[in-house]
Amino acid sequence: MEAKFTNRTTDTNKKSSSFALEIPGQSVPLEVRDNNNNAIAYVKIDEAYCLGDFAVITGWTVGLDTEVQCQLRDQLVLAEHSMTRDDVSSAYPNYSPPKAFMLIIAGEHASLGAEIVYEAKDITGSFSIRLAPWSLDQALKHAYAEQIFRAIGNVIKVGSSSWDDYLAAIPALATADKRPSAFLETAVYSDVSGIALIVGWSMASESMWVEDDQGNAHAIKSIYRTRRPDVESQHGDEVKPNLIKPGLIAAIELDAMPQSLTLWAINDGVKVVLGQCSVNYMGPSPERAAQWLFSIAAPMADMSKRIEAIDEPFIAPLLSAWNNDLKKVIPEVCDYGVLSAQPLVSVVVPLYARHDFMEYQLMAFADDDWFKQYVELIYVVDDPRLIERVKNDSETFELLYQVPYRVVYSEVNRGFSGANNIGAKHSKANHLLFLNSDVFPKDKGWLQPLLKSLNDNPNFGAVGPVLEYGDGSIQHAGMDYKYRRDIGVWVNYHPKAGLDTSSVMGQGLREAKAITGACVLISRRLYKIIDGWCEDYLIGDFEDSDLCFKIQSKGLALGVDTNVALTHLERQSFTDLGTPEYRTKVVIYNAVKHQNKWHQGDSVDEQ
Amino acid sequence: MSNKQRILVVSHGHPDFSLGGAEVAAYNLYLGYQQQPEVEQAWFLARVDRGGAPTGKISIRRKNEYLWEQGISDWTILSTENKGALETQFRALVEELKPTAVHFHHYAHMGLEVFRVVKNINLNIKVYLTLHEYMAICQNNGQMVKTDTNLSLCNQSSKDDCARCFPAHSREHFWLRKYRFLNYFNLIDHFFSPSQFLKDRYVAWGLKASDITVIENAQQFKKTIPPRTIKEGEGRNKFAYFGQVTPYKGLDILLKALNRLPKKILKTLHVEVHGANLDTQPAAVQKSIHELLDPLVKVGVVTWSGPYQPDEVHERMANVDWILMPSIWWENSPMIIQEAFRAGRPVVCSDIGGMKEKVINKVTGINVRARSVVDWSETLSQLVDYKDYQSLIDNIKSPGDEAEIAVHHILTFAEN
Repeated sequence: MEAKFTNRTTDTNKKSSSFALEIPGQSVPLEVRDNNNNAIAYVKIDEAYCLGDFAVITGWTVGLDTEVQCQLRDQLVLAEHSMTRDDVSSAYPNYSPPKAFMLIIAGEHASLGAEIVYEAKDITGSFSIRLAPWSLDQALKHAYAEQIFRAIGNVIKVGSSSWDDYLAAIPALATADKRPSAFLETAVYSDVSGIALIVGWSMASESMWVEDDQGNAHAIKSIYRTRRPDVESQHGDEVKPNLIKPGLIAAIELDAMPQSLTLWAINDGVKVVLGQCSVNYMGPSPERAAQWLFSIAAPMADMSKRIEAIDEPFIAPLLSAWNNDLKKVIPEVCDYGVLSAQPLVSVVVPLYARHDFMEYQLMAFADDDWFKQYVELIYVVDDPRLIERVKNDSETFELLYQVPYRVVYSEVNRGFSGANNIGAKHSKANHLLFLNSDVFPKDKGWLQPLLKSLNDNPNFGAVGPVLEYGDGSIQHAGMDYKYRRDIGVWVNYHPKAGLDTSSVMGQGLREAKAITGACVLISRRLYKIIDGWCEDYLIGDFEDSDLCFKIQSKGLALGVDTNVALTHLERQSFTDLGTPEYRTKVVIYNAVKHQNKWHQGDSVDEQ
Repeated sequence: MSNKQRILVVSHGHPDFSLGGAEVAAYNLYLGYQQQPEVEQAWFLARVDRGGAPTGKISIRRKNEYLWEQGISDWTILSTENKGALETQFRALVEELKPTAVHFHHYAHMGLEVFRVVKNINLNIKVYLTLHEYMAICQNNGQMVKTDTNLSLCNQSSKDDCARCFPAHSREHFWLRKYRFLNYFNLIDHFFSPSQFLKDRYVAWGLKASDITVIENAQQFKKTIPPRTIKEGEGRNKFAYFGQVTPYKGLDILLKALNRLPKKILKTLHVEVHGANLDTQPAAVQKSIHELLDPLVKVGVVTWSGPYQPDEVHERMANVDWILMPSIWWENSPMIIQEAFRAGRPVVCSDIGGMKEKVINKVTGINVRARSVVDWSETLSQLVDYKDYQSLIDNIKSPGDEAEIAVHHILTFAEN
């Protein structure tokens, strides 16, 4: 390797007193001298070599004002300056601690060399270097082999010639050497998301890649690491300060399902197989995928990071494909009684898990003449388990309550958004009221004032009522957002929940940051403009605030009509949806999705 | 078209088969309505259980009396089991009879839905309901007694309190339960309550006081029986218990009270137990009653007189001085108290609820601290020498007969 050094001064008057210096090697550090010819700094290149399309330059500096930079034609992949060099600091006791550096450059011209730029006081200098070829010896002795591997792994195409060159240079584990403890517990592949997930643990370094059963190497696209107390207690002798999270879930992009996957690592300068695992097929159901993924333990505080890295990229394509397929399922639509010919409002009520709420609503609607005259009532049976029961009951309800209604038998579970959207599709009034099945009128005549509030206030896009818990306290009087540090996500919350309603009632239409989807009135025109309810969320969370954000993006406000109150037995139908832990993970999943969409600019510190 | 009333009385049972106080009161009132000149016609429809599934079938018991095979699908919310029969058989009956008023005595065994069906047929048909027990308020068979082992008395319902009595049901279930009852009660034109105590409970629960009129249950007329003739020096020492032997009726309290009396006093009194349905009680209840009862029967203090027909009660009361009612729940307007008054006998009863209301202490009987074995013991020993027995007898008024009670109802109909 050769290097040419150039020292030059830069001041505001551009009176340059630069000089150039070429040195044949890097056996001694470059002295940076000021105008009085005093040595004020040192720059040392330890190694500079090329590896396929990469250049790797390592070294250290003392006395520089800033870190060395690399001026290149190509992409700087990594500039790492955080490594310590105790050997150097002892040689230069009068200087501030040395800064070791490692520069990795990628690109087709990387092998031609690079120009290194440095600054010390008013002196800016640069030198160009040429690169030596990569060699086995260098790989073995290199102090930063793992960092280099990781950096390159971010951009290298695994299986390319660069990759092969690199791997070929690394020796395999000798039979006498101790293999690092590791185990792959399970692996799944989804052809919908094109992702394989490997679950297990490893006491080896983090420099890993995966090989399929055909011997093709694949880079790990994203990885989540977590503590594993069970593993740590069994393999305590292998615990290292820089490896405190043996648990791993790794995601690999694959075009086709492999029979098995092998996890490789470079550990202590040698390549080693950490484990092998047969691969299970993950079907197309996003719910099943979520149930499987959420059953893999992780600290709740960590879940938002994990979901962003692993769960969401795996599940989101399933959810999207699933919803597309759902649109092809034609629901059965039955009318019970004769529906209003020219309704003012279409009330859409999804039914999930509980069929019995329907009767309680009908008995209230039955005594409301305005409702019976002007409302087109639409139930969406969004739960195949309820179809038979609702069909049976409806035979009675039609005669007993004499409230005409339509039932859209969804045949499949479409989720809160999907159910609302298909209900809207089978309705015709100019206004849509989306109503949860566990919301019940306290008295007749509640809908007409809501409609008037919306019609009289054209700057409002949607309005909802005050909702009370069964005990009469506030369940909803507008929603707000807050950042939950414990789980690291923005969530929706209901200010004043549980307090006396007298503090919010009787104040007319009031603007709110957001309103609940449990009872929300919107014009069909706006509903169409914002493309209805977003179906990208799991199960039933955040759809309402998503709707609110969409409405606000059209310059319209959200309002709570504090002259109208209904009762909401909140979340009764959700008890059916799994354990509290599973539910919390679903919330985090949706929150991650929601905040990436809507809370990007929001400051956590303001909370 | 005549302005006369056409009244269909609906009951959850027919006294021909089921002898509860409410069924008997309903039937008596039906008979009373028939006697009134303002009434063009009265009918009686009673739910019947023939042992099979509720077919919804309606059949004729005798002229103007119908039986309905109906049931309850969910007792926690009182929903009709055979809903199909509501809009077919039941509707057909109502459309055929064309009543001006349907007077329900209870909705147990039939479900709340019946009220709405009547209004669906014709909004102008008045719907009246006589409240028996506290079924709308309390899921525990309408007893307002908690489900703990002490069967503690309960004063009011709430989501939280009721969910503690029934941990298998959520708080929201109890909210929905009340929502449902209130919604259906909204269809009722006027309520009747046989006791002020029961009315007050329903008003506290959510009904309007002006919507409930207190009218005593109807009894068929019978002549008052003179006091038992006693020998010189003999006290008023003959007592009788009438009623079912359920834990709520407090027979065990009475027997425990007797068992703790000194032999000397025990020898001076005698108790007849006219007890029904002991054999259908849980084995543990039967066993504990027998353990208390058998030694007393053996020494001749208690006579086990067994069950009775309603028309036998009057005669059975003739040979005793006092009627005992140690119930541990509130009661409403117990039929036994009305029958005792009709027979001219003072009542010794617990000092709570409908009992305390109907039996004025030391005026028409004696109130004893409810559930207190000691107080019952002391009271029994003192009553043998009770000095003012005759003034109690003089104060007792025979309750109104069926005709009188029917008139009272019809007068209230006119205003509601």
